[in-house]
Amino acid sequence: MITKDQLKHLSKLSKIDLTENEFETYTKQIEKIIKYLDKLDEISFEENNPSLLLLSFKKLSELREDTIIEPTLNIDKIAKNLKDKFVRGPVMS
Amino acid sequence: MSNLYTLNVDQVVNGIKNGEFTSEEYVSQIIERIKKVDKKINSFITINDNALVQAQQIDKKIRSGITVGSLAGIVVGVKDNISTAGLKTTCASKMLSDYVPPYDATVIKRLKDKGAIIIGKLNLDEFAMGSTTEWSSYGLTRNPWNLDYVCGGSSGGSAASIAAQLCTASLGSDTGGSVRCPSSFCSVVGFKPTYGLVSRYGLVSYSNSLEQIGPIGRTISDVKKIMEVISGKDTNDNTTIDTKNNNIFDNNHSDLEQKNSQKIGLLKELINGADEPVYQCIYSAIDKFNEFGFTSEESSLKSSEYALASYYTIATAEASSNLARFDNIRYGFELNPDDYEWNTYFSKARGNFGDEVKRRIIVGSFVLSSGYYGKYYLKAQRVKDLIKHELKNLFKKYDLLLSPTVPVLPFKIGEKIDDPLKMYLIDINTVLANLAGIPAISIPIGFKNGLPIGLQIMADEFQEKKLLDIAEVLEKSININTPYPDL
Repeated sequence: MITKDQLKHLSKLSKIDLTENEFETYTKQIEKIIKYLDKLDEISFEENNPSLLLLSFKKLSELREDTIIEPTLNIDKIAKNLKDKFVRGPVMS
Repeated sequence: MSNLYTLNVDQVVNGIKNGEFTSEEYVSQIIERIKKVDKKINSFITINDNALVQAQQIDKKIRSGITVGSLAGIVVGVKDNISTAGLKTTCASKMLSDYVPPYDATVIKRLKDKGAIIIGKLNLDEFAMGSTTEWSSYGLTRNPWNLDYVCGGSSGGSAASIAAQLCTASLGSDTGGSVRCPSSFCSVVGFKPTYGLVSRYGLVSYSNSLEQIGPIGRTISDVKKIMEVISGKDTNDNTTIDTKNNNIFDNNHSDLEQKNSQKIGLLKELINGADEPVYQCIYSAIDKFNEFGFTSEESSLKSSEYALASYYTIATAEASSNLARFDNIRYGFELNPDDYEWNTYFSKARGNFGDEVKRRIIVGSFVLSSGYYGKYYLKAQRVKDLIKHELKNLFKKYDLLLSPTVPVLPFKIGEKIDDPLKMYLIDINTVLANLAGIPAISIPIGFKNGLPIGLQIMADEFQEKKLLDIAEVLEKSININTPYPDL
């Protein structure tokens, strides 16, 4: 179940502005999509299924390493809003 | 010479080399046809203004006795999410409407090195997210067989342009069926290679653990010719594999001499789930296989039921990460940054993505978010492993697996646009090959009410030679009465 408030939080996480109309439409559509993805709950990965014992399932720690990588992009070649070798960015709050 | 645009890859290459016509004559006819026909189907986003000059250079080389490449003079259309130096690459998005890549994707460089001419960039669903090419910021692409119907997607421009004879061959990208679905809907041949066979360097990433660049052509032979050139190790893409000693695309048909030993598995879950006209057409094709001496029998892939949920979890998760780079600083909309706080600025700019892209990024953020990561993403990865494992076991018993490419006939434009889930279900047969990383092809096998039907053939990883050789046998045995649409 996806609520409008959850969708607001997700749009903030995704950094995507949505209009009121989009919130209305997407809430229904995304709820339907997530409900379909819940199909994944139907499959059992218990050890009583012998065929699955052969698989080397990934653990959470293997899937993602939370390290910060500093950008090495040569930004002055491709950036928009360049001024005197500086990139003009939005105002910091 | 008239109607040069009807020729296949070999005919174009040999015709130009043997002096039957020039590369300039060929390209001129293609450009003329694009101008005349493409306003009906809208398969092109950008035309390469230098194509004629490049054709003249090939003619000059031939006149001077300089050796030209194996694809010299053929005209290739490229899906607009593959980087082309000096030629706009928009991903059918407003976000990249002015983006001109400073470099060629590896596949483009390899094609150019062999003398192919890039004729232009082809329409797609924005950032390759869609199954009908209705989600393009440059307008939808229509099915050349019936202009009121969808052409499939996301490589809709790549398939429609081949059916409409606007290029010799084209390139698409296939994340969950995006080469095969439009190829089925447009009655052309579309091939998704084994993951790692073709470099993704220069392909704008959507879901990089699943996607591969693949060729679309009128015949399997055309697709083979393109694959010979674009496949192989690339130091710019560490997922690519060296294929030098594998003879994946050689012309030795020794496998076919033992037809009786070739076993074909018919995936019952995928075949039985198809609409009646598709089901009937698939069984007519299977009869042809049997007539040729192949042995076929029903087979089962139990985990296929969970494939689509696994696919859309992984694909949206990767999309939410990959598309985070579109922050409107390096490229993007004209939006003055003054008076905005950072997050507000990004969010406002990114609100200009199309509906389907926004939906998928949000779903991706959801399945990766705290509290849901294990329930969705981790499980989806496990299902992916399970599917790969089950398919591996099936390929111990069968040489190839057959199913409809798409379980339904092409449908009317706008019919499913308001229901994303209905749209996703179109991919139900094609996502398996992406999850397992195996090769799969869609070949035309017939029509119902003037609408094309495609057959999907899958093989184990790196078994492209066997797959393409056997598919070619079937292709030759099927006589489709109306080979090209009347445009």
